[in-house]
Amino acid sequence: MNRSRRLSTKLIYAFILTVFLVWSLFPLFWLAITALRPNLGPLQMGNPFVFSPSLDNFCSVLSGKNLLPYFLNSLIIGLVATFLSLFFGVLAAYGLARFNFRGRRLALQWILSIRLLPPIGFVVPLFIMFKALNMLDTPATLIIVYTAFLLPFSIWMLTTTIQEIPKESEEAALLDGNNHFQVLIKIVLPSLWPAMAAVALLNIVAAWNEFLFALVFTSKKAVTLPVAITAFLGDRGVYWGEISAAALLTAIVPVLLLLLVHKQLYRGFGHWGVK
Amino acid sequence: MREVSRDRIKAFLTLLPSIVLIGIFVYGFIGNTIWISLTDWGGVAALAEHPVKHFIGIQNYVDLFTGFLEGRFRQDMVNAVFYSVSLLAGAVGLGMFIAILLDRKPKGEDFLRTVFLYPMSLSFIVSGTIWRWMLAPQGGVNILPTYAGFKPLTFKWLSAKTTVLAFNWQNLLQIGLYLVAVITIIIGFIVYRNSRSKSVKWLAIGALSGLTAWIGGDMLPKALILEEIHGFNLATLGIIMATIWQYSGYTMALYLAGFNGISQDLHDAAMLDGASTSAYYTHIAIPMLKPITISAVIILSHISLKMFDLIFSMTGPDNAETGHPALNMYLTTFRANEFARGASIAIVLFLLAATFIIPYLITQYKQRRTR
Repeated sequence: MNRSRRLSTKLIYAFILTVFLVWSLFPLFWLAITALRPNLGPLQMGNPFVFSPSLDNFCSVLSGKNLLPYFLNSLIIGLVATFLSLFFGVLAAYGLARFNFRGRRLALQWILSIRLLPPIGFVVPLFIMFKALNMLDTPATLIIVYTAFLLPFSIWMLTTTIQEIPKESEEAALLDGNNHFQVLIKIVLPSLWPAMAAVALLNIVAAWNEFLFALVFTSKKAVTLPVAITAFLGDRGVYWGEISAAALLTAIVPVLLLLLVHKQLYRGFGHWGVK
Repeated sequence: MREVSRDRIKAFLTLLPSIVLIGIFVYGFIGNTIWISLTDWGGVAALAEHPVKHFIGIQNYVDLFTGFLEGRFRQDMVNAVFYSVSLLAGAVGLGMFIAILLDRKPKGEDFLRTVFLYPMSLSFIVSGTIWRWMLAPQGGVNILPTYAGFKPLTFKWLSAKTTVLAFNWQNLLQIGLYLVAVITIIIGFIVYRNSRSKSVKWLAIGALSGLTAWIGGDMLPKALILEEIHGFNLATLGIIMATIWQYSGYTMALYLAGFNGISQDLHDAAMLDGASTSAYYTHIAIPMLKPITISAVIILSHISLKMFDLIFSMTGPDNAETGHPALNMYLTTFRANEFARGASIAIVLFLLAATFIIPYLITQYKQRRTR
């Protein structure tokens, strides 16, 4: 009796988990089989599960629709913005974590709060400024904006990490005559690498996926992948095969990065909730 | 003493680049947006070399909420409210449920965690594309039942014209008062156990506003001249579903990290005392993770307020049924060139964001002080 009840509990449990597994994976699976399906016209459905797979759609978006430049734009903008946000972020985090000054705690809370403001509110003044500077549709514009918007999160994550590193060896190094900059490079950075890697990957994913600013500030030369994809949605009906291939190419980068970093990410979540 | 002041200078120097960047980009621009929203900048010559702007006070805001032409903005606000509430309920509930399942450490927990989390890393444009395709009227989800021998579904996920929970915008004040009554009375009952006097205060406010709304009824000032019906558009269901799909993994991760932080001893002690598994979660674990619930609620509200990309790719920016203030702001500003009106929508969104950011910051700040 008891044993059969335990077995049925286990079965129900496994069943629920499977349902969630399907719920989570099915959309990506659907995207993949659509991308592998050749010659799908704008309004055709057909049988989505029976077809002979081919890479036609990928070839056509990469060569015919010329997705490659947008891919490069996304990559360059993401990498540079991530590098800059980490560079300034480490400096600021060290300052916030290690120097005593009034209002330090408030400064940290203030920085965190900025992350919660809706970005749409900044679009108009930014647009006016970049238009006046003749900087619309250049990668530099998006790099500057992304750096500014990635900074709060970077500073906050790095500060909480530095605060957890014991101070003693840094104080010893300072007494030995090193200045703060040397201490930062020689002692803090080596133990900060894992956190920096996690923040860097999250930042690059955020920059890679960003849509609103890219939509408003670019038109041709500096267009990034998400904006390029929406162009497929517009003209002459939707070619689902091609757009799925493009979407899959866009999705690959963040999903792979997430797989790389998910352990650190969980540690970060622990932080976040408790603090 | 001198050490401290030198410290301060160095701290200042390390923080300077970030302060400059954040200061200009965030506060300078909020100020600028507020200023623009108080002018009449817009129209054909909006992007001329020296556009004409006049200060017109809060006229833009008055128009948004009571103006004859801005009915779409009001529906967008209603959409945003229903959208936030459903997203919060769905993503927090589902995330919590999956986290409890995974907290029992099934086989392959590591794999499952990753699978449930990955949607979060996708661009909203990508997930919007996927879901738009899956929710197409004759495809995807709707034809799935045919594989089991049933009839296909015919629900139009993204273009249904049905509206439920409809109300008249003219009675906004009355409805607002009723809402205040319901919320304060609920709070009153919640705090009853801890403090009778506080509870009485809350209940009194609730009763007062409820009575005003009930007796005042038709005498209360109308927000509009004409009747204007708004409600929960069923066309937004598809968008809500896609967002829950994308973010329930995230709340799951938050709760899972929290459950792992609760010591095993506490769990074992509860079990020894004869608590059932469900009692352990409802009476011990979930209440202990209140800070996590608060951060999840804040982050999800933030996401629903800035929602733009997903709707843009799922139904296009022009679909009035599934509109959102952020999309409206984009269209008003960059299609219609009404910069001042767009700025006022942006400020409304800021104010909404502030209603949950500021209390959050205050509680956080107090908590750290007492520690």
